[in-house]
Amino acid sequence: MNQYYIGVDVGSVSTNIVLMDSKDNKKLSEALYIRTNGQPLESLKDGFKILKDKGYSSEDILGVGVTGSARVLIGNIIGADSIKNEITAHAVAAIDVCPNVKTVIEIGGQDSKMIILREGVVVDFAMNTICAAGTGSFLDQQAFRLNIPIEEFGEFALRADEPVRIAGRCTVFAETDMVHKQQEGATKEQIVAGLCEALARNYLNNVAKGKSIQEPILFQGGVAFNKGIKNAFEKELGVQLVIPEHFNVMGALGSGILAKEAIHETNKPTIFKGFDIMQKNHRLKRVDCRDCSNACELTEVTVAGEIVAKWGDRCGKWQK
Amino acid sequence: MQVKITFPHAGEYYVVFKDLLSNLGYEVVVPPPTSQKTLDIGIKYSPAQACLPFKITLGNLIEGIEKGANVVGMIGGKTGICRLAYYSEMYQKILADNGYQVELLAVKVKKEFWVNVRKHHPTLTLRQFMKTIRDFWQKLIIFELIRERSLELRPYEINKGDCTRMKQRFLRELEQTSESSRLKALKQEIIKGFDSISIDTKRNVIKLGLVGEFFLLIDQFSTLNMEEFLGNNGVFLKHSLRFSEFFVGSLKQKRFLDNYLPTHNNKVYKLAKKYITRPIGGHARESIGEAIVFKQKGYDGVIHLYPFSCMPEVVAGSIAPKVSSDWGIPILSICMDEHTGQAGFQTRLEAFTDMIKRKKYPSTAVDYKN
Repeated sequence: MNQYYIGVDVGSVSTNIVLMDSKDNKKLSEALYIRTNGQPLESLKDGFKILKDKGYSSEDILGVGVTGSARVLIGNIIGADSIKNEITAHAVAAIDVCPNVKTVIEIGGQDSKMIILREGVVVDFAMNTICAAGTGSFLDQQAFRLNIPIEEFGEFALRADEPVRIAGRCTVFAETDMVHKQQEGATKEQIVAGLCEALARNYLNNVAKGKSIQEPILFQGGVAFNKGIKNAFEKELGVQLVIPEHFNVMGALGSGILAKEAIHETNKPTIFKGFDIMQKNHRLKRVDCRDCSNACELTEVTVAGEIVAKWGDRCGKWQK
Repeated sequence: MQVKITFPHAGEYYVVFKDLLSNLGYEVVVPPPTSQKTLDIGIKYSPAQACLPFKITLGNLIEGIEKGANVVGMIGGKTGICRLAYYSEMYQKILADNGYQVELLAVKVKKEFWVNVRKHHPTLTLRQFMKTIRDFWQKLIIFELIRERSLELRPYEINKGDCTRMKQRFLRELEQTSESSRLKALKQEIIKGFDSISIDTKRNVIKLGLVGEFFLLIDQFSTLNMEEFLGNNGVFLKHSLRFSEFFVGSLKQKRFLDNYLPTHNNKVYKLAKKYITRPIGGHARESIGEAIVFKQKGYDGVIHLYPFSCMPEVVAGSIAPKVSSDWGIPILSICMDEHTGQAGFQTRLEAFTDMIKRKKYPSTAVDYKN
């Protein structure tokens, strides 16, 4: 009888779910990568349905961890044992895969991160600030514009003989620059390779900002699939990047490991509410608490007519 | 004409400023608490490149004027090297352009303040004026005591929300207390009140210092309730600059002393000198120097907050990584703008506190839920 920990990463572009063997972190029985499409609840519902259809039972789940931008919402609904930010989750997963990792480059849909580790401890990190240039969404849009499936983007870049220079600081200007280069006769391949280099440059200037990038370097997140970006980074930095086996679900893997740690440390059974919780009818409501002058805005979740979670209060009264 | 005065919010400091102005004889119109609506109004009437504090305070003023005010109090007035000095002119012009005919009153520790107040209230004597200022000062100090105690104790509180409730209770009492003779007793009650909160001192708490743009460090609307979020995540918070210090910071005499005598600011300037040699406006020099002071005092990290497009703090933010590696103190620079979504901001704060906690307490349990 196999038992599992579930790790969920609900991000802006994709919702990832991993089913990790309880005895071996490296053994992933399932790794789902589902497009979020702006609806985190729906995508998770689909994911849980797939797992249930494959014959996994809620009783075999020992713990659940959630990360990603919708972590509080999802964690409260499904009953998560660990609700943690993406930096911690990605770092934990990276250490598990490669214990002596010194740098993690993670590029997702909306966020790009750099994590610096020494001896298995995070010592520094950085995230992109206000601008989304240099993230996966930017590439997604440009691929759409050039009419190239995003999956083939990397191949296109590798085929280019000489990339064109594209301004990468701002996506809007990058787009203008790209159009102008197209009109000057640059090929699709050259433009794609130029975009990859622009993204790598933007990342190193705006996120890394002169941090000491030492090997081994793990490159994770959905964008790691893109060989053109990997190439651009290696060219710019003059070092090799390692892409872990489960690069696109590293956040989910990390939150699964965190759930395992949480269960081991607290010695309590999981509070997971089962796969079926997502199949029931959900209602999200914003309510104002009028019990004191704080007038906190609460989020209330009702599943099949019953209030299952309420949060957003400053006093802790509703978070049970 | 009846003189009705309004002024922008800065956190909950209206409690003391309301009292100051009403004791001087004004009818005070406190604008409604800063809300999304305030920000929307501010954005509508501000130039796009103005910073977040400008937009919020302008929104406050318009909301106050719509409640009937005809004089606008500008805390600090035309001081400072950065755009702040220019703000009072901007307010006046924008307000006039949009049909709000109001007078501007600079609220600061200068002779100019006395002269202008005297114009509105010819019967006011200098003696009364000085007494009002003294009472205001006393109240400001008590206000800061309440604020600081709540920040220090929140990470240790056993019943979540105790510190917030205690803070609100005492702020209400402070607001209602106008006779100065009661203030001393109130101070004792506050000390006792906070001491009575049940705390767990064995928690893995980390100490963070706050530096950066002054308004953002106070205003909890624009920083999305950062103080409570961090407090509940086991962070002991300390501000680099008190309002009272900001208020007298523009005094020529004080600036003179800071340049030549071993005051706190003098120390800060000396520490910052390697990175910023002269004042460049705002609190850029202080942000750098105070970050180093926090390191020397044994703090675990520093959070540097600044509004988008704030020149002095952008400079400080670019120097921060160098300071961080020279002195071995983690610094998180966060830029705030009109966004009100909490997720991204809280992710950064949480990741920062997590990083420090895991370094400081490697073998002990970390909270898995925050």
